[in-house]
Amino acid sequence: MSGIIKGIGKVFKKIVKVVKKVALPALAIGAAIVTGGAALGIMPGLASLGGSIGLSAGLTSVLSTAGTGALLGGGMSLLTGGNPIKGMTAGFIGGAAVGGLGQVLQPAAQGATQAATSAGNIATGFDTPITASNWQSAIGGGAAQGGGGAASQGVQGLGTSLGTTAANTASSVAAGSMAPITPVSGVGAVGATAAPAVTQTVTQGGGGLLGAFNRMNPYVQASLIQGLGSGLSSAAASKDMRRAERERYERLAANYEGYEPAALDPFGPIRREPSPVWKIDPATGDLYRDYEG
Amino acid sequence: MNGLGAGMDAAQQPQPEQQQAPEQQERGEPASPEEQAIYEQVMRNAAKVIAPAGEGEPTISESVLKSLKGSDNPVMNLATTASMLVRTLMKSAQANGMQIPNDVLFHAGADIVGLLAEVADVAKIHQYSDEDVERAFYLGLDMYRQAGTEEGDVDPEALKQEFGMIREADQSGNLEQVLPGISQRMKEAA
Repeated sequence: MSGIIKGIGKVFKKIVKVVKKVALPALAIGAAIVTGGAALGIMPGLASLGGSIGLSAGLTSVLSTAGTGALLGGGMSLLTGGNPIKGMTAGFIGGAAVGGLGQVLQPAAQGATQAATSAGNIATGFDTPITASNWQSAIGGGAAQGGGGAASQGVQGLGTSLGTTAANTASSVAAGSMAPITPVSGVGAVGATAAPAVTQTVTQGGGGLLGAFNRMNPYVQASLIQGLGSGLSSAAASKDMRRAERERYERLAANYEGYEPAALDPFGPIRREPSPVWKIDPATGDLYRDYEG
Repeated sequence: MNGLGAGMDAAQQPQPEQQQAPEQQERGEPASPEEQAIYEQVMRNAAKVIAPAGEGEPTISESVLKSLKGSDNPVMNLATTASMLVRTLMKSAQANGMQIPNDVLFHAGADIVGLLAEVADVAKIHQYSDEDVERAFYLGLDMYRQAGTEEGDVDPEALKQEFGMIREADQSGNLEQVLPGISQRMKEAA
């Protein structure tokens, strides 16, 4: 996962309008957190850093605030006991990434019966069923951004349905054909397999994310998992792999247990055990932990 | 081109008829065409997992919704869901013999956190504030790092070196060059 900081300021054209975006300063802080985490186990130990590792007070303060804020989780204590996410990961990836994902949230008027009759569907019982319309309005209607330029030349067939020119291409899309999807030249390993031309009629949809998917016919959607995503099914199909991933995340969540918000002081001990202080060995320049008192 | 920042390679400028959205008018170099293509593929695949094609209208994956409701800690829920989703996408690429550049994964991961926050909002699971989204991003990054280190796809030594660069830049007063945008937060925190 190296090479992060060099790409912090890199600008990508968005293809999905993300309203709740992570701003540039947060990207910078995130990069410091993830790189510092490798050096210091920074998230759990962030509050005990102080200035002992040679960071300026300003940067230390920013990282401590960010780290402890994340640990607090918006004011919710993690002292409720137990692993906060144990069990929550059950079903994730295993259901999401493999075929047969037809978990349909039916509009209230259609009820559970229709949901039950669809293959693989499960009535979810949500109070407000999620449909293309309310999903679309929530994340911003209209065509998603991007989709043009040299970067997307090789995936123009998809890009036009997702890009700002979606409205202009709607008529040609509805007419029943889409441009062939070809790999982006020069990308290297990405998109190594050319997709055959798509000729099925697509259904007109609204804007936003689901609108974009609505405009794709199943063949095009299947093409999405070519290239980078073609391993999606095979990788996730391994039950043992999925279980291992779930168990890993549940174990990781335990690392964040036991933080007392009331006693939180960015420069004070917050762990149950003596908090380590990071110091630099003047002889070698290496960081080491010095457990004080 | 308006709002695209200085130093942009003319060859990388988008087509004249393409209007840059406000969220794209950030400083910094634009991604290369190859990086942009990979980013778009990652986001499309993420969207496919979040809103898989099924019968009738596209819907949100129940697995994703379940994960976003997994505990009574919404920030942790968002962080875990996003982190696991990003790892899924990364692994699926690896399984196909492909590597997603780390900076592409970093930016896609940030956008996936935001996307999932909106899913949670629409599904009335939780309404995340901007601060919550940031917190989830930091937590998700940290969890990704730990999971990846365990599995061997994250190189902690390389990350340590990058942190060393941050520390040096901080000590020499060039932090903004290494961590663009950090100065703004440091001023706010002062």
